[in-house]
Amino acid sequence: MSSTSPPATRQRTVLITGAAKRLGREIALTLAKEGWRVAVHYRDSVEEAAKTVADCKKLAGACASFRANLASETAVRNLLPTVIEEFGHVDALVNSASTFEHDTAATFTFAALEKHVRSNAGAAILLSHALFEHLQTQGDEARGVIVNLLDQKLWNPSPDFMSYTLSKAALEAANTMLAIQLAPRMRVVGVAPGLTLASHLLRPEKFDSLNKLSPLGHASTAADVAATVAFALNNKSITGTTLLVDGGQHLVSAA
Amino acid sequence: MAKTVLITGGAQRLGAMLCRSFATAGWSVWCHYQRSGAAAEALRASLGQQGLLIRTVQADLAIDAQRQQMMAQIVAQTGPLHCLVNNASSFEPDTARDFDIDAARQQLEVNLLAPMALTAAMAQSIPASDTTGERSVIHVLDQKVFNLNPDYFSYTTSKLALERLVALQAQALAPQLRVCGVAPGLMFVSGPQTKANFDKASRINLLRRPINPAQVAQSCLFLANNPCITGITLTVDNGQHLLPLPRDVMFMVDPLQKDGA
Repeated sequence: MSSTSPPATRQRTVLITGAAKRLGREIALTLAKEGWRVAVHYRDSVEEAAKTVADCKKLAGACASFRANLASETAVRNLLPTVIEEFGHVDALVNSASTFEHDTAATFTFAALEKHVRSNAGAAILLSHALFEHLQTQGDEARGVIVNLLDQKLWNPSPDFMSYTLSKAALEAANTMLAIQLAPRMRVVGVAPGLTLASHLLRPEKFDSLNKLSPLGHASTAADVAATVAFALNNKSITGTTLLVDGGQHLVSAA
Repeated sequence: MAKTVLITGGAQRLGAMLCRSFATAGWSVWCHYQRSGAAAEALRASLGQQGLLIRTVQADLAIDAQRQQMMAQIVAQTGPLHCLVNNASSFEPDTARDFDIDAARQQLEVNLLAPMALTAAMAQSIPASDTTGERSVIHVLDQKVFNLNPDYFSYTTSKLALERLVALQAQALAPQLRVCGVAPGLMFVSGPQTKANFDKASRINLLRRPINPAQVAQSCLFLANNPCITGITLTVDNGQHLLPLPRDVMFMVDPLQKDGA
């Protein structure tokens, strides 16, 4: 492998997990608009992933999708090499995919905890280190950046979503530890949205009423979160910290 | 019409970079200064020549009447501000054991009470119906609020209070005003530092290179523009806050460490 510096003109490439739908898709479109080549990871959403790829191609020219179950260590370890095979190099990673299922201390199981921690924290850590090792082969000057999608509820806890919240707390701790371990080659930044989109667990009417409870009268829009991810990727002085983008939701009690 | 921003301590160092970044992004800039009249005028001339919008205003931020008069003048001339960047800082060496009470008061006045008073004046000038999220206050802090060392004791105390003020004002002033902090690390030769000391000290961070002040200014501009962010502080410090040191970074470089108090 050559150890010369990458040419200044090489097109920046980002792997975004969970990019077929929802927030991940919005991040993919925003980065494609900025000229990034986007590797769209998805698990089951075949059609949605194809649509994200088609839409990104119109904006950036190069985009491809990659299927993997992030709960499987083997699948996670195979993901980045497949992306590198397609694009030649990767510069950035956005860990956006999340398993999100409801439990509380009353319904908590080891199985639920393991399921969330595997895909929400474990996959992010393995992918981060894989990117670090890839960049080590790209010359002394090659630099990379990782953005981890967190959740404002880490700063404003409520008893709901016990396993999910623990997995995001682990990812937040990993955000700091990776920033220290992978420096100076990599920057690692957290982005913590508030309530951004209605979900399978939150119907639109309930979403609207909760959204209005944020101090600013709205929590976060997908576009604002995606713009924040783009900012974190671009600003070369930020590492080891988290940006909350939540309309101030973390400032009012959720409990 | 262009959005307006007031940058305190805008004539030099990070302040001048902030004036330049906001003006270049199309904002109408008020550059506050206290004693740096010549530098403020030079900056105004330089940006003005490029067709950018910049005005200067003089005030002693330790005197409330002057703070109020400055805000009244700004509102009268260009309307309620869209953004206030509290960048001016008083930065004097002292210790927990033997600080001078008047010097401590002066630093609390400029670094804490002035941002409180200017923010209150800005909030009062904004109509209650204005809830679009486009108006914001940004306090410039210091990464040391997340990475304590006992040097510059009174200064640090003022910045610690200002850091908690971010969330408190964000709660109190929503939805008319968003309030955020930006916490840079060492960017410019400071206090008793020599250039040689700065060159070494400025690399004591995770990324092992000096912090680019333009990235700090860009962070303020980003926070001023994103309508969903309030009540948080962004560290823009090349990861300096994750490198705990027993003393201020300038005293961790050999020549000053010997001389350091």
